Amino acid sequence: MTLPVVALGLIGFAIVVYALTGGADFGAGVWHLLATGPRAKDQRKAVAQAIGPVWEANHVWILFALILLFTCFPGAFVAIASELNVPITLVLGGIVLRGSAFVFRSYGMLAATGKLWWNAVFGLTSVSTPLCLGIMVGGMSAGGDWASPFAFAVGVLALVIFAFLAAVYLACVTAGELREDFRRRAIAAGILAGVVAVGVNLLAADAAPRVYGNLTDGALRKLLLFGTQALALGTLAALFLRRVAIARFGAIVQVAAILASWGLAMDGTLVLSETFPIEAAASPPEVLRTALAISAGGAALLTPALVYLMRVFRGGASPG
Amino acid sequence: MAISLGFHILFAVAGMAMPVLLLTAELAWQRTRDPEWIELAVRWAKGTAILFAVGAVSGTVLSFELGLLWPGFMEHGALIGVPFTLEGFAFFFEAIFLGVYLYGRERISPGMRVFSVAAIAASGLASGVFVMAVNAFMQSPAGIDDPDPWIAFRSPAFPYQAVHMALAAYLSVAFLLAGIHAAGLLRSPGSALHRKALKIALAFAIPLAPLQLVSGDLSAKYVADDQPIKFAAMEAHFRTAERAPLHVGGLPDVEARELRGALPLPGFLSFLAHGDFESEVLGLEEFPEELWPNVTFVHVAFEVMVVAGGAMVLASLVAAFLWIRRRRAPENRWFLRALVLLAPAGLIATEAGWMVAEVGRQPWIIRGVLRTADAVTTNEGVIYPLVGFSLLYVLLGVSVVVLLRRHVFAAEEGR
Repeated sequence: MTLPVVALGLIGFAIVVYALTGGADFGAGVWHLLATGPRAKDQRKAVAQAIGPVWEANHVWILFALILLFTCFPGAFVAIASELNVPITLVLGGIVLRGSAFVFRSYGMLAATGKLWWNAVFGLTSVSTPLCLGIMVGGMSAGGDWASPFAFAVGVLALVIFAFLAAVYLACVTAGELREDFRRRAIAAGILAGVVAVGVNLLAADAAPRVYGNLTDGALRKLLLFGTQALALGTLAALFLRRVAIARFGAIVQVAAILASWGLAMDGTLVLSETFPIEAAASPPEVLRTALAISAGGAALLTPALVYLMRVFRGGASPG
Repeated sequence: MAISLGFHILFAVAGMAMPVLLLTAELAWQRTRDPEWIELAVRWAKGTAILFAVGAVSGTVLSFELGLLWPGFMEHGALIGVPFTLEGFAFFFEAIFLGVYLYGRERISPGMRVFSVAAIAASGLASGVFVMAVNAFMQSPAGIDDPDPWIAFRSPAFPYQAVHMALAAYLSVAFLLAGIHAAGLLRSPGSALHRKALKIALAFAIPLAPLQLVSGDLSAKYVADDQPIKFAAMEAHFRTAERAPLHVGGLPDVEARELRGALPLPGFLSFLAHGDFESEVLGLEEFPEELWPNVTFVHVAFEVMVVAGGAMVLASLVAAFLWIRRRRAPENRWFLRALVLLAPAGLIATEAGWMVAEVGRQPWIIRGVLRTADAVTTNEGVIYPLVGFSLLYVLLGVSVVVLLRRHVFAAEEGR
């Protein structure tokens, strides 16, 4: 394995972890917005407690992917930023507004109308940001064309998948009726995700022929694709049977597998209006080596800290 | 980008310095077991949480803007990647322990509380230092022909800038808190909470202000040597002269190559630049005008920084004098009022100093290597997001101030 491949793999890893953690935080925001029924207030509270202590640490994964991208593949970073500048700008606006809205509403210093207003901002940006993140992924797969039905469909898929993940996680940290609420939401989002995925597939054949063709090219990719579909069904079954812990495991593996399939289908090339084969777009080897060495050292420091964070908050945080 | 940076820097400063003050309050509690220290720590922590979150998300905008607005600069992305990668890890560490400390304070032991807040303080400082390495590289890119990933740390500007910025962060926040709690004491005299808070803030401000003066002087001598154009612009020094005068105040007239309405102190500029009253100081006339930054802007920003810094040095000397004479932290009403006035002084000096460094470097984005005009995007549509983000920052800035105001004074009325 060459250095650029390792670096790209690390970026991919950061993106997967971001989807599994930060993505779920967005999804939790969606359920905050859509809280309904007699327990709407409790649902909102569960969401705020679950993401409060961790969302800032989760957010760092995207920063990480970004920093590694501009360190290791500066040309590709510039190309992505300039071709996708509209969805990126919307993502950024969403991230800034959402994070601010969350802390503003969390610290109990707001008057009632202010809280209502910032709650609305938090909910809406929790929907718009994953949508735009998905549109970016769609744009990167389709020659930089993000203003297309295909890219929009990928955006919707990202939104629904994040909401699905969040509902599964929330079902695991709640109990009783509240858990049932989130379990039902997880099933609904899971089924919806399947429907949207079929739609994305149909559009991809035309809009992103290269990636579409690659998806089923070769045994490994075929296995990954069918494995993902089997996992999705298994996860839904676990949810029906109320085995939420198994469903959580299934959901995590499934989302990681979806992203891995996409990453492999990109075939080591960024498909923008100008393609970037990774070997050619990489920084000099000593820069890659240093960035990877720092990442290894950093991981050694961070892993115990992350484990500690999770242990402290096992079973949800106390209201902040 | 400048607007984003100018906005972010205020929150970054709070993110670097607040944990150090929190650590002091936690340690004071460990020593005395006086519950008021804990109450103070909890209140500061809530404020920190808001500032840190806004700092974190505005920092994300910055890293994307590098690509959106400065494609030319990112051609050198590999060279600034190492400090930014390190910064990413430091920030990660900070975010983890901030979550532990803010949300888990009832679940962890007091010893772990001290450890978490110390970890936040250390990684906050590290982040600041790594970012300054990138900035130092832009000011003075030593050895750019030899692509070494650690190049940014070898910039001769790095030690000066890192120390000056770290002190600026601590000093700004010390004065901000001193002003806030002085206002609290004026409202409710005798409040033990405000008294304790003021004591910590002044204990930081008193030694830091003179130290910053020394660091500023060393930085000025370095800039005079390594970046003479910037130094001449800071001082609006047009003509090369021996025994050059230091001008206080005044507005430069660039056309006439003169500084109008300033008070000259003969020989002091030579002393400031090279530690010798007789030495020669290069003027702007030595350099082609196309390499000059906006002299008026740089000079005025520099004066603002010096005035704000001078006021803080003076206030810290007075505070030390009162403290020693009374043997307890000063509470004279006139002095508290002065502290309220000085609350924003550190932040103003930080912003002004940053403008001196950045505008003083123009027309270069990486001095001597890349011109700003060649690095900036050619996409004209960027004006819309720029306006949008500026409006967003105004909204958030106002919200933060309103919230923190309520936070500081609400608990007051509850007491």
